[in-house]
Amino acid sequence: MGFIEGLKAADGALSLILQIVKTLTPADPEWVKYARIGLGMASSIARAALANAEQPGRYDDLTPEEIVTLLGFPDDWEAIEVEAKARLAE
Amino acid sequence: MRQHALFTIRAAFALLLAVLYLAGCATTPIGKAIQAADLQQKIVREAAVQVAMIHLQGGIAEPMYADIKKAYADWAAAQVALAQSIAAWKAVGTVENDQRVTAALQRVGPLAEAYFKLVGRWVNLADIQKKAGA
Repeated sequence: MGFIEGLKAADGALSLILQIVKTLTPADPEWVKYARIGLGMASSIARAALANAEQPGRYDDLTPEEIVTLLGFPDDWEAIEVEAKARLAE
Repeated sequence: MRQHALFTIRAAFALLLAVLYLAGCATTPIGKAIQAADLQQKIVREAAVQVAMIHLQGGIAEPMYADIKKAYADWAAAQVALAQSIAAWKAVGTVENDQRVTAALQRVGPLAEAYFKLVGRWVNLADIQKKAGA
């Protein structure tokens, strides 16, 4: 099994597990909520990795400086609050 | 029950880390590692904005809001370290730089877990994932 096939299988299995958890736990206790979040995130990232594996694009061509600019945004909570206020004002 | 919950949470995030690591070690490693980190970053930031909106409307008390901001700051610092390690790896693909990326991923995981546990009480992370394009 190649890398892409492996990712597809992993993503399919994660999606199935997520659906089973959703189906079997209507009471929705707290631990299920966190499990859903974790599984959902893992599934999403698997899908994102799969999409990039199938369509290598902009992420592959970034320079080291661009990588730091894209991922290394500063700890700027003030900017977050400014955006929050702007949305509330809309 | 609580032990089971903790195990489930740890298992879920271990899986998340495994996927991240898999992405980081695949045939085109840089792009996939960056994409996974970028996706997580978008989700973290959107959740932060929504939490701030709720706080501004009086929906979150100051002590809890301070905890969320602290969790965000801790995650952001680890994210910067991850960005720098990936950039170094992109510049020079040595074993040492590969180990730096792995270590950075291992630091970001638990901090993201702590942050999502906090903000998940106030915002719908599944909706945010969709909005982030996940």
